[in-house]
Amino acid sequence: MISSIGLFAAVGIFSLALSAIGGATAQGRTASAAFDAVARQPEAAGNVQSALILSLAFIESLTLFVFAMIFILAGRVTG
Amino acid sequence: MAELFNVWETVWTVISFAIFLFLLTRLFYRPVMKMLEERRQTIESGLEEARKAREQAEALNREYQERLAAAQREAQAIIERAEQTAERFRQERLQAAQEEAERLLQQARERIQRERDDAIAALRQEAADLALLAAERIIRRRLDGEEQRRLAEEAIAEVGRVQ
Amino acid sequence: MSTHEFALAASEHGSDALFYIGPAPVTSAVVGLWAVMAFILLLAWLVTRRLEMVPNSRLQNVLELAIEGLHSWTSRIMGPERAWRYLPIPATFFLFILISNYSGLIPILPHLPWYVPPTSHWGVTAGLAVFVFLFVQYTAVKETRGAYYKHLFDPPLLTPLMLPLGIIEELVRPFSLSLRLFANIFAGETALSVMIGIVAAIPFLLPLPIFVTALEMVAGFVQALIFTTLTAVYVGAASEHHH
Repeated sequence: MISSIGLFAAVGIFSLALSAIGGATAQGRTASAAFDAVARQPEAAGNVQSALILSLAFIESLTLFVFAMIFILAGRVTG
Repeated sequence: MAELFNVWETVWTVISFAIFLFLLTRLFYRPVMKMLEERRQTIESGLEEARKAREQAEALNREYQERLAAAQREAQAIIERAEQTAERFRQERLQAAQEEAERLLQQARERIQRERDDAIAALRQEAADLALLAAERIIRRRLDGEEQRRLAEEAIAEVGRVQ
Repeated sequence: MSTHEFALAASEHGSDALFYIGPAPVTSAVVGLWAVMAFILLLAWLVTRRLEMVPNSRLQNVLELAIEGLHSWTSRIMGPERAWRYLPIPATFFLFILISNYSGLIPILPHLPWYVPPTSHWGVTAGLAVFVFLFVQYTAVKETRGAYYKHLFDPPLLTPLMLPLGIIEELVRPFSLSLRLFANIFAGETALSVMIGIVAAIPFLLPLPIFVTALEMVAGFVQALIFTTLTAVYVGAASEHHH
């Protein structure tokens, strides 16, 4: 018999892992595209760098939204 | 169970942050930004002054160069003029010397001529005297005869030819 | 971690009131908020007390470098003139968030009962984001006399579609802005406390929390920069004059 907390923990970890995979893939593609751009146009390195950091943060935040949602719902489940 | 989101914290944050921003602007940003702006202006005016000073120095340098070139040209002209004068003077002196030499030569020639003439005349005189002397002696020794007369005539003729 | 510990970690998050001012509870995050603000004000006072045009204190050099760096960073977003005029907003957010994030990495501070890094609480980051939202509306009204809101009605035919979307976008901004910052810092601290728990059980895994701390140093800086950059983007859009 699986408790509701156990089920929640399993689903939570799984969805967090899933979003981490997605985020990591997207960040990898972003970084690779940025490095390609810098290799082609080294003089634009500054602009590419700031755009890269912004993009990585946006992607990163999706994974962290999932993390935060798990915590919010954890309060509901355990409380 | 603690909540993940506490709305009072939001309220506190908005109020505190507004006050914090106000204080920090008064205490920090205004003096710092004013100082940075002043420093920027100081640097800019310093650069501007340096640029002006350099331009002035360049203009001065150009003027000096021009003056130097003019002075050099003038000096060159003076030297040329002096050389010309010297040349002319030399020519004049040379000519004068030549003329002097010519004149002296002429004088010498004339004198030589005169002296020669004098010498010839003197010689002739001497010859006539000698002839007379000889004639006298001969006449004294042999004052007789036809021959003596002939001799005398010959001597006279001789003298007459020489004359 | 057992379910009990998981619940404990959530409750240790510390949103319980330390005391009340009137009806308003003051939590350890609010104390942290004030502590960080007081620390920054102290630094500012130390610097401006003897401000030199030719700086000879290291603190002034560092803060000047930060100011100039933030100015050149926001200049790329809204141009040097407006970046200079609005500099206090992004600069204050940056200093506050950076110092708050880094305060969580000092080993002692997070274990004081009355202090938590304010940016690790969603309530606080939401307050910051709400402040940004209010400031953007204020700028839009004051600077462009509401010309900023024209984009809500941009293709006149599509207004019924665009207006709700625009309003939703405007309202989602503080949500995502605050959640991104809070979730990053909170996740970092949770990861760090989990690592420390692991090291307490298995001491030879000591490099783990050190590695996470190094990672959080980078993340703390980047998150401060992200919040600052997005604030500059929003303020820049609200103060832009269309000719």
